[in-house]
Amino acid sequence: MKPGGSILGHILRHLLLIAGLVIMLTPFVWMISTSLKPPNEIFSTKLSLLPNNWAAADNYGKAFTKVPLLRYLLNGVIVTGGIFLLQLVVSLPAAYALAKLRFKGRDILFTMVLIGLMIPAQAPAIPRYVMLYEVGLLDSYAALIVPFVFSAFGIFLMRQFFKTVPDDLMHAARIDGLGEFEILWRIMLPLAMPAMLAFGVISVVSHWNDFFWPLIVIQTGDLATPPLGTLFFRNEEAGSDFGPLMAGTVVITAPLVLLFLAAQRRFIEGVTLSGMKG
Amino acid sequence: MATISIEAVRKNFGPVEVLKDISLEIADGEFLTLLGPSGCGKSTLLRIIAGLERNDAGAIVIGGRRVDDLPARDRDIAMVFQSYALYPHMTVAQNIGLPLSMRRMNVWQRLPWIGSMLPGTAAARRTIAKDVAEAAQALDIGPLLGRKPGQLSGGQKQRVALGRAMVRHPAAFLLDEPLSNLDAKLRVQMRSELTELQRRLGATMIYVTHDQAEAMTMSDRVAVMLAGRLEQVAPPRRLYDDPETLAVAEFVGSPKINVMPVEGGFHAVRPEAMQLVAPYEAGAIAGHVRLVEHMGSESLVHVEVKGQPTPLIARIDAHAERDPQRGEAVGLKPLPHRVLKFDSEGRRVR
Repeated sequence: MKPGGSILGHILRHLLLIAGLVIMLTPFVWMISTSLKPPNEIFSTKLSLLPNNWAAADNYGKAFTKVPLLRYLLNGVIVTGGIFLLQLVVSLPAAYALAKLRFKGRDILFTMVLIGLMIPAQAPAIPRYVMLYEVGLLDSYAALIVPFVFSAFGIFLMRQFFKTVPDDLMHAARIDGLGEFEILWRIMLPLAMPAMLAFGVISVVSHWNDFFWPLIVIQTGDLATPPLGTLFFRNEEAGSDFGPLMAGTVVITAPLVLLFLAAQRRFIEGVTLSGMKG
Repeated sequence: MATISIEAVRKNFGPVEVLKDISLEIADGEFLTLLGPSGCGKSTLLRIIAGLERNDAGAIVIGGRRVDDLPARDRDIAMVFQSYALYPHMTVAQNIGLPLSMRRMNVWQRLPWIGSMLPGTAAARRTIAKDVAEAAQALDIGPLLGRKPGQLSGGQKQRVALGRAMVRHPAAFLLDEPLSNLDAKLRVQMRSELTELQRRLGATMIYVTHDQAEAMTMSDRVAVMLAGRLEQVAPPRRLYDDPETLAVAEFVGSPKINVMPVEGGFHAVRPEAMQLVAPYEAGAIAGHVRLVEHMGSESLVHVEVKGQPTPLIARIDAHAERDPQRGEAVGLKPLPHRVLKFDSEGRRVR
């Protein structure tokens, strides 16, 4: 307990947190519960978390066989992985230059990045669609990846992190014989690991869950990302078979939860930008 | 090792003139200290020599080669920073070895994994490891080679930074307040170790500090910088006994030199050249003792004198017969040959 906090305040705080937890967790718990039940129990009027007759094998089996769920997951990995890697290729040098190099127009460029942060993804959707159509890239992995390679958020986050790295470190590196790209690669990159992980989690989660953009640019089922895949699922199953649908959703959500749990400590480190001291 | 010439160097930061026409010759193997208060431009000058800043006018010549257009890495100098600037993610051995691997291995050999498979990499790595071990030995940090900087004390970090500087035998060493982050005791110890090291390497060193004790104890010559200008460049002894300007006389020496306004200028007398005498003695300056500071072997007697804005200070032997008390009427008599005369502009009159 923090000094000065009364017991009543303590209890209130926990009640509030518990309420929030219940509100946020209930849909997930219900999703998992539904994925374990046979159809008659899903629509039963009785509320129960655990099924009387376990239908897990049936539901999960269907989820993997009725639609190419593994293929969707693989697509998800390819698309989110591709986006994140290319985002790093663009945003690390850009962030380094904006944080540490002196050149004309730097402040204007950084202002543009900040403005870019404020534009919602839906706003440039139509021009992007038209551009992809013009270059003939619609309905391909490229259509899913390329529009997100420039990430204003990534540049901003990494720039803020690089700002905290002392200048003397770069001066020392220059005297030791490192060029600017080598400073980035050998000094800045290893130091920026926590920030990169944080950015990675945010980037992967948002693009893994993105439904809007894949829905617009993808027609071929084989290219569907996991959220889009659940849509195909529903169409094929005529929307009534909720057990397998929920099973599919659990499978799609699981990688993200696991990713976050694995990177949790580093992720919070990166967000608070406390990676560098001394 | 090399000579360094600084020829009419100027630098502005926006409208602010940081360096005003600095010229300075540093001999091969010399230990030269740039001494000045913070903000006088000494660190900027060092950074210009290193190639981390550009000079707006003038030239830097290292070992007979003009280097103004060369990047820092091609100037063959090494620098030690106040913050040590060790790479936190690398071990001590990697920190010291980095400048060598940047010079002795090509881009491909330096790559992780791929580098190990290329011819010559293993041999290069072996000679680097040998040189790193040698430098570590010289600085007594051999057992620390496997540690990361975060696990080292300030003094150890200092040695690693020195090791990284000396491992590639540069033409000159530039040191930017390298001791100011150490505690007082370690600072005194490192002072003598550094001079010892410099003698052993026969290295040309430019050492920046605001601490006059460091400047006086370590240097062959001290260059006093005030407000972007070189006031005087001289051996420590000369700087103290024979300053060219009143500003230098006042900046060097602790406690500060006694300055007394006289007709057409100033007389300045070091505290130890002030004799404590009876107030009525002929030629003595009469006053009252305001404070006596006992330093152990000596005492500093602050004497309040009429017409003098700050008390005059006399440094006397603590075990002399005279033991002045607070409020006592005393006389001060400067040793005549130790009176330094300055004109009203603060220039020395001989």
